[in-house]
Amino acid sequence: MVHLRKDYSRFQDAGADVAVVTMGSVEQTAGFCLKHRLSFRCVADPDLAAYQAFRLQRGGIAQIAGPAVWLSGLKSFLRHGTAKPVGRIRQLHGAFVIDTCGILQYVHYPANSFDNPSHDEIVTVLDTLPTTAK
Amino acid sequence: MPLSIGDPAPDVELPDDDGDDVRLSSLWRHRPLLLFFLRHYG
Repeated sequence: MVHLRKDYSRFQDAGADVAVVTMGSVEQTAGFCLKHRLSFRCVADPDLAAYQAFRLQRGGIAQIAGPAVWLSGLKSFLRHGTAKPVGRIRQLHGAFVIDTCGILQYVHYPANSFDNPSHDEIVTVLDTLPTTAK
Repeated sequence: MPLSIGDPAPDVELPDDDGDDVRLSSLWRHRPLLLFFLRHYG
């Protein structure tokens, strides 16, 4: 979340808007976005309608808690502590760049729960897209 | 089957953090949209 907030201006400078979708209720989503000081659009998807529409999968045990995520999980725990998960614990995340015609220009389906998209790659894609204002 | 580059993005209506309904397509109408789906904690 810190990295997303930190790179928000990079994405804006590349001509994009940013939105996040959470699995929480409206109230949980509002609290989460306030807690993390997110200044972009936050939407709630407690029924996972958008998660399913974008074909984001539920991870297996290895993807959520296997050896590939132990080190990243430990680092995250040491840095941020822990909190109660909201939503389906096996639901994986994802990232998409959508152009103004509604076409996907970048997709990221993670290999595991700590596999995050490269913000540099995303900015590279955004730089290729026409925008109405930069 | 995951979506691919070049596919149309699904358009879903969801409530935002104020409780107002938002059609996802309204978010990419004027500028490209970077849409993150989160696994969030607390």
